[in-house]
Amino acid sequence: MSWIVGQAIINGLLAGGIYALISTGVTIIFGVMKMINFAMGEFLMIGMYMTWIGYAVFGGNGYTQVLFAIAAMVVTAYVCFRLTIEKLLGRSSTAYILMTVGLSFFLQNLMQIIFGPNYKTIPSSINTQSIYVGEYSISVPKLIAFICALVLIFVISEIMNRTSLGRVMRATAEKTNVAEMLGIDTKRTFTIAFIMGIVLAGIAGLLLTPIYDIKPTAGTIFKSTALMIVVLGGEGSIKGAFICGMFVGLVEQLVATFISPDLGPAAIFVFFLLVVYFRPQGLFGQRRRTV
Amino acid sequence: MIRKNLKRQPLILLGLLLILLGVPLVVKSNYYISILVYCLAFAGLGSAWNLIGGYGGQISWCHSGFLAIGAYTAIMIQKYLGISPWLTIGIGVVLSFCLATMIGYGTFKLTGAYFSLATMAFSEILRLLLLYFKGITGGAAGMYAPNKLKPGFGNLMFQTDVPFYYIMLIMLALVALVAVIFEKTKTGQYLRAIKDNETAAQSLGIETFKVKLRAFQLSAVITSVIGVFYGTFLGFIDPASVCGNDVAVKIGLVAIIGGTGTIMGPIMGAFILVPLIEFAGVLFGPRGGSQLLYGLGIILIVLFMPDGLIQLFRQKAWGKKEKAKSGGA
Repeated sequence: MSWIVGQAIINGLLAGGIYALISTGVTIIFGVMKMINFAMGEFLMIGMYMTWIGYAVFGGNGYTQVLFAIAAMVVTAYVCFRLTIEKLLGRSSTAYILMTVGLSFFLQNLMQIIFGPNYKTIPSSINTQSIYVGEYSISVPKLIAFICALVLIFVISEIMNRTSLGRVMRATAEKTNVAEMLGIDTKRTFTIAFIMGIVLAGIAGLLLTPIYDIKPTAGTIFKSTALMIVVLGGEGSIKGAFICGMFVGLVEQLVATFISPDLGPAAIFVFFLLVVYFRPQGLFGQRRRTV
Repeated sequence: MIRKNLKRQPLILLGLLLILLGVPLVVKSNYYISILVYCLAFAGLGSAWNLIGGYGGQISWCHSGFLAIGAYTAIMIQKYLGISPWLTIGIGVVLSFCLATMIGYGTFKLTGAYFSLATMAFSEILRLLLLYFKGITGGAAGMYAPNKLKPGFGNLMFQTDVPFYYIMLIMLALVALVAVIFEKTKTGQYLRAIKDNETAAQSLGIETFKVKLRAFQLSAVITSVIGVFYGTFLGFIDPASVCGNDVAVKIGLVAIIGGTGTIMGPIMGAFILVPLIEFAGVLFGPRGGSQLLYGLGIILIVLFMPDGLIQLFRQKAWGKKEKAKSGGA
């Protein structure tokens, strides 16, 4: 019994790292642009496909495609921003919701048409390796994903807190029109924030290629979970996204182990509703929230 | 301009109703009738969605959930208890009222995307629950309406789809009537004010939370009633056909393409979108190509025609554009 609990906790935390990474991407976009990106799961899925393309062209394994995948995601994000999101700046938040949901449908089915509905995998000996700590087994790709996620989140939070780019982004997040008056190019800031968020989702996709099949619907399971984590964590809070990501991974894994794998997301949703009722500013947010 | 349209609207609707009443006399093919039933069903669903999503600007992605509640209660109770679908309407209504209250209660105190997010999560959970309780819901394999009951109007079982055509037409007429009345009630007026500027509405003493909740409850209840007829019309339901994310998007899209916050918008949207999807489905297969259209449809409409296709029929469409641009976040 205690072994099952321990193993579930390990798996939950490992999954939580990836959740935290995607949620950090969502929260940067959300914090700076006040836009909830409902297409985040699809950008993760595109990240997986970009990794696969890199593998098909250059060979190697999933991890060696990191530069190619980042470059491809930057281009994807920039094109998406210029063609769609940019035109909506200054319009109501309803327009953002509709646009990102439209994008998510469009991208998912576009990939389905281009690559077909069949699964793709990147074969590598790492995929099935595990290391053992005592009696517990830890899957190597999950561990790599976890460590990379932690490092990335740390880097992002340092950028936000210590660099001038971070200062500009925080100022824009605080009050866009005031930032503009102070001479900040807010449109450029939005572009950077959007690209940063999308690249994080793409890297999460890359880290997931050894663990999950690459298919057009691969992002769907992460989509609503990541969005809920951001609400749980609090507006634009990277710390909140990080802690809640870990927590949600844990809860999901425990419910999946002890009740049913199908009900993991249901538990998170119930938790989400409870937080919205009793602490609408999120567990780590301070201000009253309006999007 | 809206006022002027309001006066003409009942006449247009009445004319449309008369034309639609006559259609089965001309169209004899059951296939075309069934497509028209889909059109009418989604026109009704889109109109119901419009009550909260269009007039209130609160974008819901869980109307597929309420549709599923109606459809599943109808088929399940018919299967296990042998009771006519007519009698299950009440159960679906109560269930969806409670669930709408549950979703709205927390999220309507907040503004913007929180509601959308909760609705998206909710319909996903409902889908998972339908898959999980396979013993009674049939799980992913779905379930057929049983043939236990006598065919006929009392049990909603017919040889052709023509009776369903008339039932859906009556439903659509009722929903349109509700929408016409809703536009004139205080709740409807307040809801428009909330859509324009929630903070301003609040400062004028409008209890925005209650107004939004009421509209959402009404919208959910109507959707589940349509769900009962939709489920019996399909005769076979599975989570993908009534509860999937694409169904939720399709319901909203019907209103968005036609024009949100108008009576005619969702009706027009349904009669354009549903045949288009059917056509694309035949051409490209049920997934991929036809669903690409949903996404592309939303993107193009949001970018170029935020007021929907109904804008084309309005003379002073240009004044509207100005407003859409200056309407702040």
